[in-house]
Amino acid sequence: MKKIALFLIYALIFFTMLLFFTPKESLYYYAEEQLKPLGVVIGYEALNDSGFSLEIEHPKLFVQKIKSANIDTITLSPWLLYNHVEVENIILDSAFEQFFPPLINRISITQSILDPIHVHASSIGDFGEAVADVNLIERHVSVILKPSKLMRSRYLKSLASLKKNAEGDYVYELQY
Amino acid sequence: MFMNFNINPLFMRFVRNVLIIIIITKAISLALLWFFDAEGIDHHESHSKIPEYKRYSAQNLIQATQKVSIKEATEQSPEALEVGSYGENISNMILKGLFKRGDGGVVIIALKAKPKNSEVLGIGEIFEGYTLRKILKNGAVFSKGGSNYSLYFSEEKQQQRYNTKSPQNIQTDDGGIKTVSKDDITFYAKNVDKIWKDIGIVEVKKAGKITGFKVTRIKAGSPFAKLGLRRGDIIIRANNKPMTSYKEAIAIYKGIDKLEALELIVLRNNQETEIVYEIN
Repeated sequence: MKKIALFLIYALIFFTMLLFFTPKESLYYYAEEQLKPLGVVIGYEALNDSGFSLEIEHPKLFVQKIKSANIDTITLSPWLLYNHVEVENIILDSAFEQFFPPLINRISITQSILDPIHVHASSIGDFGEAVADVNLIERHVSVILKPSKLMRSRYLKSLASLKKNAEGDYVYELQY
Repeated sequence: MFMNFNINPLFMRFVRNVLIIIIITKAISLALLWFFDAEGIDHHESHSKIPEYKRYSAQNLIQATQKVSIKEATEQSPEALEVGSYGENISNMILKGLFKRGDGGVVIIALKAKPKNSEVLGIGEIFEGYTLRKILKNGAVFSKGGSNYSLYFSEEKQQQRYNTKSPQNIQTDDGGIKTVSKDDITFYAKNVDKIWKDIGIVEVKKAGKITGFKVTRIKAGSPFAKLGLRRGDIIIRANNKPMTSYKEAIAIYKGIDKLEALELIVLRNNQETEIVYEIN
């Protein structure tokens, strides 16, 4: 029993130290490399490694070379068994404000060892609320959007491109 | 003399093992550091070397001078009102427009025989042997062979210059150039939904790369139909910028309210066609 307890303590120390020493900036650069072929570039950011997470401050998001959004903070927590990304205060570029409400307050993305083949995401903003699920094996993305009053009144054209489900929510699906 | 420390050997073994774990984890992180990139990807603004489309249009410059109120016009100096006093009028030319700023500016002139072939002249430039010397509010002074000559607006043109009413609809002027109201442009820029009710546009790709944007649908009688676009037209350039990405299209869209002219090159029946709009 004592040996098991000691092993668990050593394991805990091992993972804690591994998380602490993980080169999070390099991991972030690797993620940037993976996004590049999709035309997604995060630029003008300041990186701050706080030990157990990486904060990316004031980045600008470019999609297909088009400046798409200014972001307040992205926090990456690559904890191996529980990985989490939190994006706060996304302001879409003025070019898109005719298609989508410009302020997204938060996007939260999670992937954990308890459900390794799925990535879960949720978001809240002027558009309403959305939850998303990515199946990494089937390469399938599903987004369910609960639009706000603003979205329903001013951005009907954008909603029209989504399917409406039985609950009255809007669904977007993608096979990649 | 020496203090005797009694350290628990089990604790010492624990500390040693923890240190070994720390060294191993640090070694793993260094290996990861070697494996992954040390530098990220940043966005670099690509600046096109293709010059932007510039149009020195008689109509635009006339519109600019229209902002001079009639009151201001009546307060002009007598010399400005009497352009003819500078010399004999040039009878084979017409003054289509002028833009005066300080002692400089430009005039738009054409031969009466070829009224559509306008030329834009700055001070010191020569047209048909006449050198532009001075720009006044109602006309211009030229010199040729040591003598001064004047060129001034016709009475009809003079009336037009002080008519400050903006065109509200799309019009085609004498030169086949379409005139679009700035208010209409602003309205459509702020109401994108209205655009898609009247026109359908999709990207055209060749070998995975965008080569232009095709007009798939145009509502008859809509402002877009009056713009001269037709179903099947492929917009390949706008203001001299190739429409080979959404970036270029978005850039035009974002800056459209600042444009004074828009030139579209469309592929129509496999032939390039130029459509020019003046935005007033």
